[in-house]
Amino acid sequence: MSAAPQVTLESSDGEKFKVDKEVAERSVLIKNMIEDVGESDNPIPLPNVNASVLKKVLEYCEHHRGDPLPAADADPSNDDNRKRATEISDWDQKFIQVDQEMLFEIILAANYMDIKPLLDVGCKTVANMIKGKTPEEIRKLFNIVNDFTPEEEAQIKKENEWAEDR
Amino acid sequence: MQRVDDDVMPSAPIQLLPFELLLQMFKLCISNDTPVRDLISLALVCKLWRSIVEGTSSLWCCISGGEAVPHVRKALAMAKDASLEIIYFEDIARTDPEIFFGEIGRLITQWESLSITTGNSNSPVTALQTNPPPNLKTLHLRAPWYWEWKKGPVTLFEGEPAPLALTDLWVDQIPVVMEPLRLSGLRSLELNRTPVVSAGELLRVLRDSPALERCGLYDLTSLKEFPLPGPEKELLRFQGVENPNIRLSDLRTLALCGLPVSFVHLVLSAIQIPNLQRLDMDCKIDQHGQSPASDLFTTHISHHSPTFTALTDSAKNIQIISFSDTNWTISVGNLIITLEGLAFKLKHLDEGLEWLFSHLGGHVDTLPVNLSLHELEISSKWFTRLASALKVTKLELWTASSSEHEPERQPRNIISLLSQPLESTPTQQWVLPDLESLNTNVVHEDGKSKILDMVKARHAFIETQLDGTQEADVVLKPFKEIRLRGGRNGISKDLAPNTKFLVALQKEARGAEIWWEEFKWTGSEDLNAATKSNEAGSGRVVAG
Repeated sequence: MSAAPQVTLESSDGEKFKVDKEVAERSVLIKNMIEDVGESDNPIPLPNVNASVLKKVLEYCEHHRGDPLPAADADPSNDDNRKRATEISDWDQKFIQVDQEMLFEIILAANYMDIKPLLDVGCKTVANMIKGKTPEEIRKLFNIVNDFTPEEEAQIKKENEWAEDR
Repeated sequence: MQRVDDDVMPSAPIQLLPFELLLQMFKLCISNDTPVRDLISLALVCKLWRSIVEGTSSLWCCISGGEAVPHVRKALAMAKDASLEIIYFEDIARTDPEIFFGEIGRLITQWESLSITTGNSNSPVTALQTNPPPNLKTLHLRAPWYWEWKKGPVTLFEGEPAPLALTDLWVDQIPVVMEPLRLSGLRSLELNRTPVVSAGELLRVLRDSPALERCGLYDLTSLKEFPLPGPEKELLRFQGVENPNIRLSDLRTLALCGLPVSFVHLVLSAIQIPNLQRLDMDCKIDQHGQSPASDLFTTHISHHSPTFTALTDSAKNIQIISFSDTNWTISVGNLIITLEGLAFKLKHLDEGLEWLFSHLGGHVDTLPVNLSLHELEISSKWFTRLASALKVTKLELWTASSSEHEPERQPRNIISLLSQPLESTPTQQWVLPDLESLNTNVVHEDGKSKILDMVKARHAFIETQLDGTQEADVVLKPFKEIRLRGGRNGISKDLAPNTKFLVALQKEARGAEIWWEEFKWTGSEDLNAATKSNEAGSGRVVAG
């Protein structure tokens, strides 16, 4: 039995990862590059993804290697049922339990490498973190600076004061 | 409040995400009940988020009756020309239906999706008794089960056809008259309980919806049994559909439940569904003279054999569940068949199983069976015959007796049947020789001693098999797992565990896992105390 074909990926900090072609092709970016360039021993450069993030992304691709590929136009936010749209499988939940910096790096990498299911998991995770929180709690959670002046903030609240009435 | 200067505060990682990713996250944050409230919360976080929220009209397209009138007005103003997703659930509505639909009525050309749940008011549905919204793609009309619809049949859109854009229709318990809608081009159709529709009209909808992906038809009381007049073409002509060759290549899920068996047969005869991924269907035997073999599993549906076989490919076992003497469900992978009805007899189950084993390929024969029986009145003779036809590895026996003094019916007799070899066979032959797992609440009165005797007898026989003193037609398997529940119907916990019994059972079961309710029994600890102290916990081990 012949071994599965492999490709080498090179992270932005120069680390090389040899992986099964089937795993690497979970990324539409890599799949297209392989199709365009053809079979080659040269490493595929990923200048926007560092080694620690790429390692994590490849862990995800390896686990989901046999999954059906999503439709190109599928959009979880357009799902008929938004509750279902923010559900995440047990394995994915554990996988994405990382610090915030890594979480957003994974999201950016998934976006750059065009790995839609991973991007969905990242976006759903952040959405679940935001849901049900007050603006102040959201700022605190994500370390966001409140750049409204006190006057602006008061004005927005005044415009929407009816929104406070549940 | 003290602010941190931008120069001092490092950029938050979330703020480095591109606009389209933040937008995607925001869309996922918005609830159906209070979308405007959620959006205002997001807009109050920082200037960047406010600019995204207020600058993206598509974020405001969800208009919910769960919010007050000012929210509805704000959403309509912010949505501008975007297509609207309208939700009105009467039980959580904060806006009167007339006011709500009055507000959104002027934008009827923007309605893309409309979901109404109503029961005690006609007003939300009244909004649909005007001209059809021309761009409506999705229409869900539902009455919750706890609100009985007391008004008469409902004619939508002043009797005009449904919008051509409509691709997703779900009507649940509201008696919408379907025929005037002249439905076509649907991708999803679900009709439950009371929609008023004829068999011929439903076949026409299927014929005119070649891109249908999901179809569920449940308990449509307006459909009546009709006699099978003979050849299939005649039957279809009889129903007003001339071309029975309806190909639904995109259909992935199909449910035909609670419908007359003649209608289920008619639909299956008329359609081709090569890519189906799940089928739920009922075979209702309500009239004497009907039977699965003559009324459903006929040659007219034999063209589905490859599809049905594919549905069972992934099956790891066969599940057979009985909730009463006249209701049996057989599940093999993604093929689920329920045999039931007023005139149902156990021989009809035999027919169903025979069809299954002879039409779905050899792999089904070899699958282990999980048999789940809920309070049955079946004879020992019939059960023995059923058992001999199936490779049952897992047995569930449930009694629903309402009090401890009311005796269970058949389950305890089945335990007795498992306790000894069959008398009629010259060599030692046992009922359910492959049985490895028992799950039951038949532990009242002498139930415990019957279980104990049964396990003891079977395991003693296994030992004689091992040391060669007994020969048997079929090798008896030891138990791997015995799960016991004290509560009737598996719900309440009205019977305390009995430590002495569990100790004895563990001894006789020789290595099998013993469970009481959610507790795995591993020793001689007082389980009664353990259950009380851990009432609120989950799946625990009681160690000895």
